[in-house]
Amino acid sequence: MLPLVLRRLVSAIPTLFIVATLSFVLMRLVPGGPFDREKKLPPAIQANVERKYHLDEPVWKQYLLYMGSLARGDFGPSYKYLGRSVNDILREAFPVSLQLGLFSLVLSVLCGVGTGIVSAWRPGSWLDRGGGLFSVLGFSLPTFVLGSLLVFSLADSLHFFPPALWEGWRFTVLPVVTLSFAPAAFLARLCRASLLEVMEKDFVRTARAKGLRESRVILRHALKNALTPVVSVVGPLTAGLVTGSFVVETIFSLPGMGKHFVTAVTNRDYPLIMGVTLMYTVLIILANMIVDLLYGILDPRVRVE
Amino acid sequence: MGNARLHTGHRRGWISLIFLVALGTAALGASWFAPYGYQQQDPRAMLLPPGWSHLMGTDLLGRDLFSRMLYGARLSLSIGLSTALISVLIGTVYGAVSGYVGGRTDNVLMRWVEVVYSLPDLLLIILISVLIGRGAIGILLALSLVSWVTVARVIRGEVLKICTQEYIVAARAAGAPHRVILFRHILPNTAGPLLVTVIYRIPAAILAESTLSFIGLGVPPPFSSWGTLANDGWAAMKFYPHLIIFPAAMIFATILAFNSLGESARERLDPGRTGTRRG
Amino acid sequence: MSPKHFLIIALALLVGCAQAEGDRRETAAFRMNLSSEPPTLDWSLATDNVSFDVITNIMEGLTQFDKDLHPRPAVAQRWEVLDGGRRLVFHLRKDVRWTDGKPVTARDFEYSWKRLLNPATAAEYSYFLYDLVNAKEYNEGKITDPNLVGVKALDDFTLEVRLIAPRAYFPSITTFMVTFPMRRDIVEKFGEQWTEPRNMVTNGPFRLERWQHDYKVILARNPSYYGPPPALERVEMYVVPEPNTALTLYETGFLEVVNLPPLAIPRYRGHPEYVTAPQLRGYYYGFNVEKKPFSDVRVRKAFAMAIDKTRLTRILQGGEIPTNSWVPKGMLAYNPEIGLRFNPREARRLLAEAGYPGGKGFPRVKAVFNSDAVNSLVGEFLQAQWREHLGVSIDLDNQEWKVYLKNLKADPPPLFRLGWGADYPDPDNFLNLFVTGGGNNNTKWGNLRYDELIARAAGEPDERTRVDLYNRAQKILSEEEVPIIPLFVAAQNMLLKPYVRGFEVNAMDILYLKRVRLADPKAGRNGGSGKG
Repeated sequence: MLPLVLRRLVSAIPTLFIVATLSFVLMRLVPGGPFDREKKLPPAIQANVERKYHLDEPVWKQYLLYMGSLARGDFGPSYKYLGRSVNDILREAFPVSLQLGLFSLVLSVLCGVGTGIVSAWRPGSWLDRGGGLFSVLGFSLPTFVLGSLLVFSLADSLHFFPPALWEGWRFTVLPVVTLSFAPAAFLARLCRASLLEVMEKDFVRTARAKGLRESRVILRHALKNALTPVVSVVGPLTAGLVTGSFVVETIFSLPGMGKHFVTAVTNRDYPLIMGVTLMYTVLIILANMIVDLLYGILDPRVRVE
Repeated sequence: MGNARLHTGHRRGWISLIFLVALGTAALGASWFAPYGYQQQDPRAMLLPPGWSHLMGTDLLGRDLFSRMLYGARLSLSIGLSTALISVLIGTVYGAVSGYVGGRTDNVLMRWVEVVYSLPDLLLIILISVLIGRGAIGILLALSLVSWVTVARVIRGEVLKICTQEYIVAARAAGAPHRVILFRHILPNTAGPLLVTVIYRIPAAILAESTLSFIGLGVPPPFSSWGTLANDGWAAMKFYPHLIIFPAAMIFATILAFNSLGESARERLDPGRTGTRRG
Repeated sequence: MSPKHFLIIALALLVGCAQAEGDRRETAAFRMNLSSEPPTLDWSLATDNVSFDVITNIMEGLTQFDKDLHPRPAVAQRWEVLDGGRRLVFHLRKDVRWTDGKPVTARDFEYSWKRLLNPATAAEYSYFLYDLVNAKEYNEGKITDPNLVGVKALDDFTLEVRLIAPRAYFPSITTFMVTFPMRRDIVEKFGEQWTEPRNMVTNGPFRLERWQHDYKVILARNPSYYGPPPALERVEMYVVPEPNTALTLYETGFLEVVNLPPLAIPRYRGHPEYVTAPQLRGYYYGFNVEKKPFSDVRVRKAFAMAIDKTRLTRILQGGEIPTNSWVPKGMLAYNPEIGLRFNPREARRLLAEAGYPGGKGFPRVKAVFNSDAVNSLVGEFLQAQWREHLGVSIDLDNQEWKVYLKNLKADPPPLFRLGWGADYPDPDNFLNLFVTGGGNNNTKWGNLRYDELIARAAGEPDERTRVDLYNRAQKILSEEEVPIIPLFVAAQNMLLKPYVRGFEVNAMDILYLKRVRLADPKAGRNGGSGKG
């Protein structure tokens, strides 16, 4: 286990390097710059601005400058939020997204795996059909529609929850439910399919033949084996959830970092694009490493090198 | 024991199939079936609720929503299906190879998956739109490019697990060709999760297209797609609910049909579900 | 944890929070929303409306607009216009204090203006002071000595400004945030962090109490403000980018004022809380006059005359005012008589004369705009209008904002959409746009007669002569040459709680909160807002 962790951490460096380089290239290939505005700047002023951010240097030099400061852990200044560093922006936004993301992760895994088990228990039963309907609803309802529906029903009409903003735990309920719905639906289907697959396997049949109760068979024997695809998905899902969601943060006016994935791109705020991208990369790498470790725990014969 | 269950399963499968065929026909023949043109504006019929002359009501410009839904179905269905197929094809092969070969190859391939996961996909999508222009192909390509990685991770995880089973170990020891082991013995056993992933990809692509239209890569106006209709309808949700109800309901019904169809097809093709297990 | 337990906890949560309501008000706070995070509160660097809304309430400059957008004395008690308009001397009030108790002096203005013009500051709005002697040269790096710039503190309370030519509108410029005074010691001590609440020093009716980035800005009454103290103790500004969310927050009692999304306007029109006002923001389609077929003025005229703008504004529902001329309503020299009216028959005649009878043989051209719901509606409407009235098929192309700006700069498409919001409420700001080679003139159109009229009008002190000059220029722009089709002037549509008093809406969309007060919010709440 330890060697795997070490090896992954070492291989994270080239991964990060490649992501940073490719993102840098992508950013510069996409037309439009950070200081292109509806009201065009006089050329001399444009030049002043570009000089301030070293955008007047040749691109290779900008790349070296940027990678240099990156190596020191400095993401540089934001081009949109003047006077704020990308490090500051991430430091302030990440805790919010982390909190929302972890709640949503727990909720979606609990609901997803729970529904999956209930559905696989008696395939074809009304419980299974209900679970299926819930899942399809979760797949096909756009997040923005779901979020607004929750706001209209639970906040606007019934006044159970505040409709938006970030002033305390009551304000987290609707965004967390909105964030969790689609992943829960996906996990439920995945878990059910995988469980049904596993239930046909010899060791499960053996357990059944031994006269064990069905619930025991599922929870003790089948589930562990059936969780592999769930775990595969939960890795990137975690990274996605804790870095926030543009739609949910917009609908509920939350100060998370998810919106930066979109607005930094539309603003061409190069350092901020880089900041959120690399942060996401780190989380993806960590999540996948944990997933690979979990494979081994779920099935000791699986060994990832 | 499972006969009655099987029957309802098959009935739903048939209903779904009929629904999807009807939908596909209506989409392909939209120019015959649609009562109005997708861009036909009627200044006297703005924002009408559903009624006899306009089955699903009309939008801000007085265009018939039902007709726009039909024309939109063509685009959304082809984007949804092809993106799902392309990403599943690439993802399955990639994931299977990675998990089966293992070792260094697995490590390198999976690190590349991490890179693709992490790249800012919006930038990629904008770039594609600038390079190859817009329309179905660009959207397809952009969506497929970023969505195969999830499939690859799932399949690779499954393959890793299946590879440890006795019969695979035995087959490998007996010197069976890798191709046979992989495609005959391993991949069929991933069918369940694979199917779910494919079906999940379809609505994901249909909805992603609405996000694309928001940043300018979606179908250019005045064409319509379910995604753009849902996106536009959402803004009007509180005031003209018909503009969101119909697109959302159609996406839901379509995905439900794909789901039922997929499950009943699997029950048919894989008798192991009710009877004996295949090795 | 079993599903059952989970259900119980979920139920407990539901019951526990059945009391979620917005108005738990103890202090007289005014709550509103900002459409985005303020990109900066450094008024030398700020360029956007959101930053502006915050800064104009924590700072005051030499002058300030009244309700009708006439500049009135603020920190400057009075000013003298000397040397035929080339020299202005501002006399400052002696009782204006910064929040740390120090007096506001002419040196603070001089420092701020030179900082704005310093090329190292890289201020995007430095050109606002290009009317000053040597300002442009200093900003462009042609001269390096800031002391040559035409601004000087003669003593603590006298500021001398030297202009390159008479500028009738200059006292309007000094209402704008980039000209506000600034404290050298504070800026130099804290560097880029000087706009954080713990460091910031200001002189306006409110002071910055808290700035939770990406979420909210809280202003508190400034006890050392020189004028009558504002009635509001606090102003809470929440970053709510989504207009529908803002509306829900207003309806559930979390906000006192909100801008209405277009689709909500019909529902609220006639409602006692509904407020509407014009806005000095024009929306137009431009032609690239170098590209065929729009190099022919008859085609441009035909396109302009084939649009039923009244119907367009009915579709948009936002209270927009259809317009055929470019200077917007509410501004000097606004003249609805000028411009080409909707006349499909004449349009068809002109198109036929240009060689495309009934649209036959008309090349496929693209109308390009940036992706946005309103822009799409307008584009789709225009496409249908030109098909209906001219028999011409136009392709629509929407592009992501920055891609679009890049294309406009590099190679303007034959037909493109743009808007223009007033920087200062003077026709010069609108008409100067289309002078030959102007930085924001994407039409490639140029007309020497027009250029000359605009230049003469800018320095003309007599208002009637100015209006006359602008009328002549507008005739060239929107009747004779038609490089653009003005479509409509935007409007502001908002809801305001009935217990809010003294909230004035102006066409520049400038938010002055110092005179706003809340009539006993409890009474107002029960009586007015309808929702608990």
